[in-house]
Amino acid sequence: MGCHVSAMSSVQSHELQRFIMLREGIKEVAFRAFQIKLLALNATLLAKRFGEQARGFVVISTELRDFSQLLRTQMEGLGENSTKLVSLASYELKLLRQLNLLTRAGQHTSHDRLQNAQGQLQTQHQQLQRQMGQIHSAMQTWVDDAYQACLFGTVIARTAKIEAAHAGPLGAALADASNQFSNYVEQILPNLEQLKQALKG
Amino acid sequence: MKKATAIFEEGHHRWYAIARDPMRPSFLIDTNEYLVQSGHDALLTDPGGMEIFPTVFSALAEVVDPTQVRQIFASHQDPDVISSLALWIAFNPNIRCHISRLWETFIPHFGGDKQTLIGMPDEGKELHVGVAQLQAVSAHYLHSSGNFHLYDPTAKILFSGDVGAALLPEDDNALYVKDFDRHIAYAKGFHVRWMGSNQAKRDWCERVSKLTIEQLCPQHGAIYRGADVMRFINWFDELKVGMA
Ligand SMILES: [Fe+2]
Ligand SMILES: [Fe+2]
Repeated sequence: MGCHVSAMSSVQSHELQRFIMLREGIKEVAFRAFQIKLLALNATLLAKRFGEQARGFVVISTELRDFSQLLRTQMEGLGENSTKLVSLASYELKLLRQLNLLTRAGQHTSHDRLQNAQGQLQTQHQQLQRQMGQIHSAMQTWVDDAYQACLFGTVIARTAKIEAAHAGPLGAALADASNQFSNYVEQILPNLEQLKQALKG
Repeated sequence: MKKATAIFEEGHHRWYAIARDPMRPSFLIDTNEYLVQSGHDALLTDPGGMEIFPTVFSALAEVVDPTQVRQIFASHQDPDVISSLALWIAFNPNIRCHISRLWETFIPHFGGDKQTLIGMPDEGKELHVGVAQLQAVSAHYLHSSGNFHLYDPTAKILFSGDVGAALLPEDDNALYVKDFDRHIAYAKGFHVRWMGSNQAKRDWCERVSKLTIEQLCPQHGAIYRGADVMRFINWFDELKVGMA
């Protein structure tokens, strides 16, 4: 049992590392979403100067801004959950260490209260695992939603390119902006793909 | 494995030393735990680090019912002294731990809460185990800034925490000091480095030499008894400490 518990805790410490990596991935997506938001704000201002010719572009860059805001909100939610996961996973490591030591004490001496203490820690551990499982599946839903939103984002970015082409000879700056949009959104997709994989564990 | 050895017995009043673990991994400093029992009540001094909980618990359970351990006396805050607290609480949530009031809010990082920890005032206090009356004797700055020893006037035992500690060779497992001069060589470096204040040391030697002590029981190394107790106090009084 002692060995079993210690083998478990080495699994948990890998889990902890995985959750920490996950948090880094989320931060990266949130950062890119922030870049899109800034770009969208600038592009909207720029397009407004073009007047009627660039109206379509204004609408689309506003949509991109909304998309990036949505993505950031999703990443914030994911970030909060992953912070919870990290703290629960570190608590789990502590719990398993204690359980291991109590179990070892019980190998030499059997005592009712020692068994009760072990039982209580085991119950706590099960509750903890349930809680972590719930957070984990909530995170999977968030990432799936973010992925869908991002696919939609690629469509908007492509439309922005078309709209930039319609802005006439003065549209070079808008074309630059729309290319940037595509690049950023395309960079996010593999990040989200990685998050999806990481959450599958 | 550790083993509990009775070092004092008078009726229902006993002291056990849970000392020297030859099986302990070498990266852990060896520690002595002492159990004071009076009737069906027991107190454990410096219960030790988390990693040695199984071996301390098992040795203790050989001689007393572990549910009788209702109090813990922690001389100071070090991990080799008290990091097992969370496990003792898991075993008995009603256990109480006496420690300097300075460490009351630090120790819950190891385990315990407001209920568990009973902060002792700087001047020390009387503790009761069954019908036995013990005295927490201040030993601040020796080595911790909030530090206590535990004196039992009936058993004439002073539990002296890190004072008197010796880092003995692996094969030296005797419970008592046999050859003071040889032994003290293993204590010197430890005291010079770990004891921080010559003034506090002078004051401690002055106070402690007035107590009747038959056994001086440190947290590391062998126990001083008989004439070796005063020999140690005099040696310590002469030693210049607080040097790196
Ligand atoms: Fe210490
Ligand atoms: Fe110590």
